[in-house]
Amino acid sequence: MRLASRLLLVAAFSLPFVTCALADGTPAGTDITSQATINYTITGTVYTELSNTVTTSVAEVLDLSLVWQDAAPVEVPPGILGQALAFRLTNIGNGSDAYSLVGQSTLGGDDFDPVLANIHLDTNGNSRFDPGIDELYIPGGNDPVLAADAFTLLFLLNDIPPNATVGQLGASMLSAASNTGVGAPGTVFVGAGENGVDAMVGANGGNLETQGSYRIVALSAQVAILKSAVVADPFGGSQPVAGAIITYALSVIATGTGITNDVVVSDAIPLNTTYNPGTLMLNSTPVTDAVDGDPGDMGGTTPGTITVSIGDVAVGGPGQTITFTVTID
Amino acid sequence: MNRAIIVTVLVLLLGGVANASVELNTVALTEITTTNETGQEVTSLVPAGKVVPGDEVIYTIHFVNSGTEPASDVVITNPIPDHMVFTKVESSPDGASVSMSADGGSRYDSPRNLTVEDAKGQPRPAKASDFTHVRWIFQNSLEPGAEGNVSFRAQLQ
Repeated sequence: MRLASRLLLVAAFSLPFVTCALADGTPAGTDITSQATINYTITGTVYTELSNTVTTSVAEVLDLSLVWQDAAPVEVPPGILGQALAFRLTNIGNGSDAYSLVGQSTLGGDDFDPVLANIHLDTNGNSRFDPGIDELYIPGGNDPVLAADAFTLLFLLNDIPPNATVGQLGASMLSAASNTGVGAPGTVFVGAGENGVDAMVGANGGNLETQGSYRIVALSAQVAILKSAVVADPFGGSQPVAGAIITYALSVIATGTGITNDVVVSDAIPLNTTYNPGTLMLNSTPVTDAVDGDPGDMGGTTPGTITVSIGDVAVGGPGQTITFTVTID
Repeated sequence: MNRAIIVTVLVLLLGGVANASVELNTVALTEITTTNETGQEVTSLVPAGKVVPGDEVIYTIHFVNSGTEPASDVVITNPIPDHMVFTKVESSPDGASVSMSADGGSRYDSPRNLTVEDAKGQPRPAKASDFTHVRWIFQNSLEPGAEGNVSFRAQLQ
């Protein structure tokens, strides 16, 4: 009962999960029937008889794959917040299933421990982490639900400690577990599968742990940009629904040594959102959308992208903050 | 007059039923491996009530001539069930030969003689996954009281 209500709740989010033809195991709940026929002759007469029909039903097998998507350790400077590792979760079983996710960053075998922040879902289905759009994962609240052979991207976010040094590796692990059941392969959960069929734990036990990692690099431009987002939906809340307004803030700080000259910040407007004209600001001062005498423009320098020239940035000097808003389509 | 015809038809029908005396019974089994008291692994067959993709099912068809006359030209045919791929013939009675079909039961032959069309419409040898039917052709008559099994294995996709 508890599981059923959880599944209903999750279904309401209707994330853009992708279905593709992978293993294509026979769907759970299918009835496999077999019937033999015999022909024979007795004293010149030919007879045909049928056997009984034997029916075997297909149980649901609980199986998943979880693969780290970044080709190499994600390069990050020390002290940066909210850096995403991407994972791909695929339901390789033969029935619909929901999954619980857990992050873990205090692992052995690496040089530093990233600080686990949170997990986000790929709400807009573009396989890239979009702050403010890709919703926060809430255990038991929006557990991803995947049909057989469907997959989705997941983003594991960590803060990078400021005392990490160049070249160090830091690992972080995502775990995904079937909500229907985990256990030794072959364990049966009677009636727990899709449409009430029996569910059986597959080869990997119904849960998987997969690691990704970060590598510390020096800031080549000696400048760090921290992007944050605040969502205001039309109903007074903060859900990233159609019509919600996202306010983005790009904070630019110098983290190297000395002064970095002629810093230009550009940021593409995310997919499935529309820039709200006239909302571009630098340090709370409006900047027009047109290419003109002020420091920035929207779409003029690069289509679909805000571009702001903030000049020189010095260590210890005041940070510069660019803000603009978009509306979710 | 009419009643006499009906009675005659009934007698003929009953006669037919009485002579149609070779019976079939099919069971679906799966192998399970357990460890016995002395630590040895023992494989046994149990009814295949539930299966998951990758499982192999052994279909066993029991035949018995429960009549009083020998049956000749005995042929037992079993379609490969939907969602399953033929693996192998498990058992055949003495004097029976096996034929397969790869075209839904139109043509039966020794497996090595069967072909199917590839993507370009060219014939290629049939593979296990192409087989649609398995058939046992009995060379000998089945005497009254004679019984036995034919069986084959198939794997759930």
